[in-house]
Amino acid sequence: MANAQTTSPLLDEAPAPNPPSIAKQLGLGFWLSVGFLLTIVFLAVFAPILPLEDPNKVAVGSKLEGPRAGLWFGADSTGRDVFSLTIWGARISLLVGFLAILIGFLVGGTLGILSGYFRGWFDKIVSFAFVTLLSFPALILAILITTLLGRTVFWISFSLGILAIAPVGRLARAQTLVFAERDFVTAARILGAKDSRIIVKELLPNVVIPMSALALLGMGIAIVAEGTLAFLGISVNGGLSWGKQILEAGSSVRNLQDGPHAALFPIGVVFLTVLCLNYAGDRIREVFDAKELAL
Amino acid sequence: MALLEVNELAVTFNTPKGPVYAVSDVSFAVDKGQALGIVGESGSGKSVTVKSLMGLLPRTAKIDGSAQYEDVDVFNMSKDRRKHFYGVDIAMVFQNPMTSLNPVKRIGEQLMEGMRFHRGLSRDAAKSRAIELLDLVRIPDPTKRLSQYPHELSGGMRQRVVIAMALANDPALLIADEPTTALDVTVQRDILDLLDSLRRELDMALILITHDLGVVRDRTDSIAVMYGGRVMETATTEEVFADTEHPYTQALQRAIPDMSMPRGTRLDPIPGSPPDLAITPVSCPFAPRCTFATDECRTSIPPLSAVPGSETHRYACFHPQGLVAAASTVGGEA
Amino acid sequence: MVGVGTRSLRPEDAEALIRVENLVMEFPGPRGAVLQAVSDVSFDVLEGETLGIVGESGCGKSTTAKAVIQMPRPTSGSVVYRDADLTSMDKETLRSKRTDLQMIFQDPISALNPRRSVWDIISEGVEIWGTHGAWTDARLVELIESVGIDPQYKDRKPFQFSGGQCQRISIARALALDPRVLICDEPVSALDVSVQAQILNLLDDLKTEHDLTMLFISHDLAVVRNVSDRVMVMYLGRVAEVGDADSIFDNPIHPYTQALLAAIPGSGVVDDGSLSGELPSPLDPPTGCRFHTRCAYATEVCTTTVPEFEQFGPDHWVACHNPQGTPVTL
Repeated sequence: MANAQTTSPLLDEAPAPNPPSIAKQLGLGFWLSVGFLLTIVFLAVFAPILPLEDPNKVAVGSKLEGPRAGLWFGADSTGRDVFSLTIWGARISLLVGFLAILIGFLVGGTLGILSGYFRGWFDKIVSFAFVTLLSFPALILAILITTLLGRTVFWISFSLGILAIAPVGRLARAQTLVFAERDFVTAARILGAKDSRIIVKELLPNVVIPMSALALLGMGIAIVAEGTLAFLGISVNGGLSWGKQILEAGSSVRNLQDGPHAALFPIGVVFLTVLCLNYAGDRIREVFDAKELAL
Repeated sequence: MALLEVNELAVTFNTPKGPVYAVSDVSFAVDKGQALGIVGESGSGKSVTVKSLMGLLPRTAKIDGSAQYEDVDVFNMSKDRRKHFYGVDIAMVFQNPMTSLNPVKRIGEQLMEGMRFHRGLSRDAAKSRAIELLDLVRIPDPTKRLSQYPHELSGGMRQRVVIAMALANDPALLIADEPTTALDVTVQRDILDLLDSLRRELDMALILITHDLGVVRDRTDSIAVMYGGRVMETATTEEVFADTEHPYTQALQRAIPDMSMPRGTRLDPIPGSPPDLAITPVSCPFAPRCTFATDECRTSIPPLSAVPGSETHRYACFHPQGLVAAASTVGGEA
Repeated sequence: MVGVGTRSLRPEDAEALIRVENLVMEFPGPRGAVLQAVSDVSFDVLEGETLGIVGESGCGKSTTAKAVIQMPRPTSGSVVYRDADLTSMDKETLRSKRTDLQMIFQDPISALNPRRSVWDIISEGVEIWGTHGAWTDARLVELIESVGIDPQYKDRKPFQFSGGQCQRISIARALALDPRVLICDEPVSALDVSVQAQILNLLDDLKTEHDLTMLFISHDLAVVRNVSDRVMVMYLGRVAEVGDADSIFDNPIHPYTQALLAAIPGSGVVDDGSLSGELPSPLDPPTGCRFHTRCAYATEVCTTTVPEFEQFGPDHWVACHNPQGTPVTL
């Protein structure tokens, strides 16, 4: 009658072994991308103390001089060091991309999770706000903000960040809606977990993964957007950025013909940076989605 | 002569983590107008078996063995034959009726599509045939249903529509894969009864796939019990219940509560979980969970052997329970 | 009560652990309609007994059980647990009182957070309320062992375990706060046949070990018969028959209960066709006895009047105008 198998303390059954570490699952491509991004970030952060030519110093090389040892990316039309310009430009471009997405992540993510969790009138207001933000012409919004508030790094990031709020927020809300329906949320509530605990412990770990993937993609978009703004003459006052550098190198057809490298090198770096951001974001999404499917 | 004969069927999936042996060495036959029940849990290979017959497996699946349907070699058909094979000779009904129905198309259109494609019926002819089919599956007010959408019907009605679609071209064999698992008990019985009576009315063979021995008990002529991708026991339905040979079949019957048991009866669970199919099969798949397993069971695969005196009853086990019991009784008397 | 009434409730002095009276649960339906999930249901559960709730999907059995733990709070009616009315309690009092009533779910996958380890999941309750008294880590380890999971795997994630093992983890989580009542919502329906018995036996063991009172919801009558002391048969948000399990299963009085029992595969009962009709929509339930549209014995009165409970045995109550048995007066 009594069956030893269920009453005995242990079942002779082991769970599946631990899968390969996340780091391994992400793969070589992911780590190469991250490596490239970290190198750019490192160079940008330490630009002032690295043995680099002053990016504003003219006639370091001759006009539109091609790449050579010591002048890796060549010189631009005023003889400035293109390599040094690119590194210094990265400082502002990366900062703008990062700040913009940080604003989108914090504001959009918070609003999205709260509206997805609490539903009701709060959700209605937030969802309406997201739709409104998405329908507002992005470019006009950015021009408006920067013209009114100033072309500083912060306000440019802010204007791009505002644009990131709705996409990030809507993703966070959709994910929250899915997970809030799961029984483990009910179980936590019956155990006595308060709303704050459920959001932080049960929902956030599930929602933050797709959000991070989107954030990486978004950062790439923000970097390119900053470049676009530069072409419209809305770029950081005084400072250097990738957008500004490419604009200056590419504004004269004559210069572009004589020394395309002055524009092509920064374009290449922007391209690689955005590519790496997108690839890394995609890998994160794939690896974690696959884990979900295995459930 | 058998309508469908499957011989030594094996299906292997090549996954990034290595091969998965979903089905190994499966043989069975269905005669014209007969009903076969394939019983097994998740991972037993029962669904993969019929999907291979229906040509529904992904390209990554490697299929070995043969399946002969009348004069057709199912795994090596010409393209033209294939076009008018599925849905005409063999049709299938799936577990969830919603996946078989297009939510944005009216019932009538969906029913008529297949007939018009396979038989080139005119619109009017197809429509009257559609009404006839809905009537056949006992759907009240069939003319009105033609213009309804799937979401306007209940789960039981939807499954009836799916059955009607499967019957549209008078298949000689209908495969029903867990046709009632997604439905309520009360509706479940109606659908099973319907399948049973349709089979008799239309003289159609039926393969009924289920995890529930109770479902096949009153409605099939023969049963194949599958576990870990293999056939554990196959026999006429009577033989399986009267003289169970395989410990798994036995354990399965004992593990489920039954209405005749008094309340609080301790059940006899099968310990552990269903097997991991990624491991190359070298032993009886049930050995790790079997009370009677010996070293022999853990090192070699028991072949399908016949029960003496029966042409239909076969089992894959080194310790057939019915025979062992019979032998010990004889021994005791001697 | 495919009808209504509170006659089936046992006297107040029987000291019901849970006493549910006139429970109503309504949800907003499409286009302003009201979905009547549970309509005026009353029942009680004595300490230590297992009440099985059966019925087809949409009959309100899960909603009723969830309403007991105020998930969500019922539209009206009262749920009294040990002299405390849960329905009128403020949020904070309910939060601490409710820990006495825990729940396990049908889908073992959805019940566990995929990003948390087994240990995090099981210690959640103790984390919330703090380790004090008997709530220690050592006891949690014992608990994990007692449900048949080797504690050495406590850092693994749910996806590494089989469905049956996930259900065990879910049970351990529910027991971590020493609840008095365990609500089991179709706990074996999603499991493989060969694993169901393991979980049923485990629940039986734990019930004795932890002195639990259980509400056991299932559509599987054989499973309910196996575990229940009392049974409540529900149809479309109302109760058809309630009382002692043996009395109801051996001698069903309500035509609906009879039809349900006849529908079991292999029951051998000939189908009288009484259930051939479709389940009506809970958005617009039939008047009178809600079962009359599918009932073989329905008469005029069934379409107009909601039947009240009548007694058919020491603990056997039926709400039907045309019961298939003779009422008793005790």
